[in-house]
Formats: sequence, C-alpha cells, structure tokens
Amino acid sequence: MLDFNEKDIMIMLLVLISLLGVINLNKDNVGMSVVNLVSEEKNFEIYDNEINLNSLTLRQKIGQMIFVLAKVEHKDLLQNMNIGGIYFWEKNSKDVYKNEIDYFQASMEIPFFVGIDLEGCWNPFSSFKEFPAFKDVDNEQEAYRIGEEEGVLMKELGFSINFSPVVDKEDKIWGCRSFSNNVEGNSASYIRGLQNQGVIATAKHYPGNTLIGKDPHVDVAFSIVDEEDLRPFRWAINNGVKAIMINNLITSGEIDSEHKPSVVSGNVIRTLSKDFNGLILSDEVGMAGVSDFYTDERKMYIDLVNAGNDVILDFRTEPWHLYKIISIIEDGVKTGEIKEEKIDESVIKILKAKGFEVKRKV
Amino acid sequence: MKLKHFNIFLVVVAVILAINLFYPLKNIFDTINYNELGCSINGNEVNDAHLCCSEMAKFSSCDGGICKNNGYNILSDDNMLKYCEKRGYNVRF
Repeated sequence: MLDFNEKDIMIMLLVLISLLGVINLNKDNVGMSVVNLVSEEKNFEIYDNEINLNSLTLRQKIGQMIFVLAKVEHKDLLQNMNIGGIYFWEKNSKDVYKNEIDYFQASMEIPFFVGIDLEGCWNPFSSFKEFPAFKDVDNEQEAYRIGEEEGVLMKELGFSINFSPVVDKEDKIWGCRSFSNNVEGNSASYIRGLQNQGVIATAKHYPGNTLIGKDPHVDVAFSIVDEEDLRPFRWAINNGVKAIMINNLITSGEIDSEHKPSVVSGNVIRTLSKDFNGLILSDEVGMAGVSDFYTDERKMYIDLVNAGNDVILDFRTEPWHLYKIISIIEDGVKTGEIKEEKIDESVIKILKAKGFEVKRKV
Repeated sequence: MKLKHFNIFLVVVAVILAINLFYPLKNIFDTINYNELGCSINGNEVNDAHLCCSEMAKFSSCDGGICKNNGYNILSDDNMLKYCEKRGYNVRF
C-alpha cells in the first residue's frame, strides 16, 4: 500500500508544475502536435477540373486564404491544413527551387499558389539568372520583354504568382523598386509579359504612395493619395492584372482609409473592387503598419477578412501561429463576426485563379 | 548529495519552471530596446522593424548583419536579428 505524506504530495505537485514549464519551453513543438491533431480529412470532390466548394470544410476554406513561408520542415503541416500559398526566398540554384516546389506540391489535390518577390532591384534568382532593375528600364517593349523572360523562368521553376510589379510612383526607401519613368505604361507592359507566360502578376501597393518613408517615432504611417497615385493601378487593371496587393498605410485624399491601415479598411477595398474582380492580397501582416495598429490580434484577423482581403500574407512561421490564425477566423464565422459567404467569395476567386471550375453541390 | 538537498534542488527547478509557465523567462531577460530597432535599406534608414524583418527574410543569408543582392542591400545588427527571430520571422544569418 502506498502511503503519501503531505511532503511527498507537495513534491509531486512541483514535479507536475515543472513538467508543464518544460512544455512551455517547447511551445513550438506543442503547437505542431496540436496542429497535427486537428488536421481534417480531405474529402474534396474534384472531377476533371471542377471542384465542389461544399466538399471543403470551413477550416480548409480558411486555409486557402493564407499565404505563408515555404519552410520545408513544415511541408506536412501546410499540406494537412490545406494552406493556399507558399512563399519562397533566395536560393542558390534552379534545382533547389524545383525540388522544393515539387516536394510541396506532391499529392496536393488543390495545389499551393507558389509565390516570390521578383521585383524592382530584388532578384532572388541572381545566383543563376540576371535581370535588369526596373529603374534602368527605358521603354514599354523592354518592360514587356523582361516580364516575359521572368515568366518563362518562373514557370519553369514551378512558380504561379509573382508579387510584382511595384507601381508606387515614388520610392524614397529603396530607390529602385518602381520603374523610374512611365510607371503606368512600363508596369502594364511588364504585367502582360509575365501573365502571357501563365504567371500571375501583382500590382502593389494599393492605393499607392507607399514607399515614402515615415516619421521614425511613429509606428503607423500616413499618406495622402492623389489621382496620380491611382493611375498605375487603373492601367494595370485595364491590362488584365490578376492580383493587387493592399498597403498598410492610413490614407486620405482620393482614397480614404477611415483612420485605419488600408489593408483593414472596407472603404479602400470596396472602392478597388468596383473596378477589379481579381485577387486582393494583404501585404505582410506582421509589419508594424498594421500589427502595431491593433492591441487585439484577434480583431486584426477578423478585420482583414471583413475588409475584403482574399489572401492574407503572414510570414511568421511558428506552427502554433498558423493554427491560431485559422482558429480565430473560424471562431469569427461561428460567432457571426464574419459571414461565411465572405470566405466563400474569396475561396471561389482563389480556386478559379488556380484553374478550377467551382460549383456548389449539396 | 543527500536526498534532502536533492529535493531542495528539485523544488528550486520546479519553482523556476513554474514561473516560466506563466511569465516566459526569455521575455523577462529580453533586453532589446524596441524603440532603437531598425535597419538601413539601400542607405536609407528604416524604423519599421517588421519591414526590416520581412525584407531580410527574403535573403538566403546575411553575413554579419549585411544582406546583399545586386543593387539591393540591407544593413542590420544582432539586436534586429534577435527581434526578428522572436517575432517568428525566418531570417538566416
């Protein structure tokens, strides 16, 4: 018969508490196992190129709206959660890109969007292919040719979307991300060249005037948008751009974000949606412009969806963070803060952009 | 070591871990001054730490806080790296 005295029980309690403490030290691993536990079975109804939207669960639909970093060690997790897009960074060879993209896409019934920034003066492929910086491009023919060349390479490697071109008219931070002249015409030509190769172009960062720098003591930046800033976006839309990325600035002038970052402003995205029915992407939501605007992270994700973003870029990589985003949005639908129709509208756009015919069969 | 001493040691460890459970120690001992964080992108000072992190995460590596790719350069430091890692950004130094 075991005979515990008060002291033994106290020690056992302390050991239990210490075990919980150790678990807390390894929160990422716990997050990973939680995510694996909640993964849902995939019963997607896909025939030829037609997909039944109703065969996706709510969590699987929300997963399609998230774009994350393509960390190879998270491959199973991202596949299990039916994540919509993966973002790559600079690698040293074509083979590394090809192999990693193939590894991610293997066995995916709904393929990932595979994205990268190949823009302005940032070339993640520089170890095996050179492209001129946008600031050095002289005319629309050259812009088209660069778009076409980049599209050929991206398609060969397995990319489906480029977060380019930057169509902001003034670049006071980098000095090389936008075309230095004829931003409208050169951007529109680049978009046509890229998309003619089957790679989605992204005009960014709506509503413009983004790369202006800011007061170093202010976390949330402001800008005044005028007609000139909007013109490149109109040209991009008229030339068939398939995606537009929204910035994190609080704007006034031609486009009023109503004292909040554009990316969470229903007014900004509604105004854009009047003329554009392609994909609307948030900029990376970890950036101070939007994340420091909120004290409540839950509200930020709810607002991102309600404002009208189809795709949310979030480059923080902890598995528990990804689990949290999906759970927040799912909870928002269950509490009525987000209408499920809003999720459906975005997922339909995403699936169509991935080449599916979308039906809703009971 | 006597059993009594070992128990005292266990109690101390348990107390530390219990504190860690509710108030993670890495936050308590974190000495980064967030107001001074930033980086320099192509020679221009940028005070949005998150922008620095997401830009640095595009590079395959940044030696000694310097990220270079043709006409695109970012200068940073260890504090910035720690901050980016803490916020879950995938920076490679």
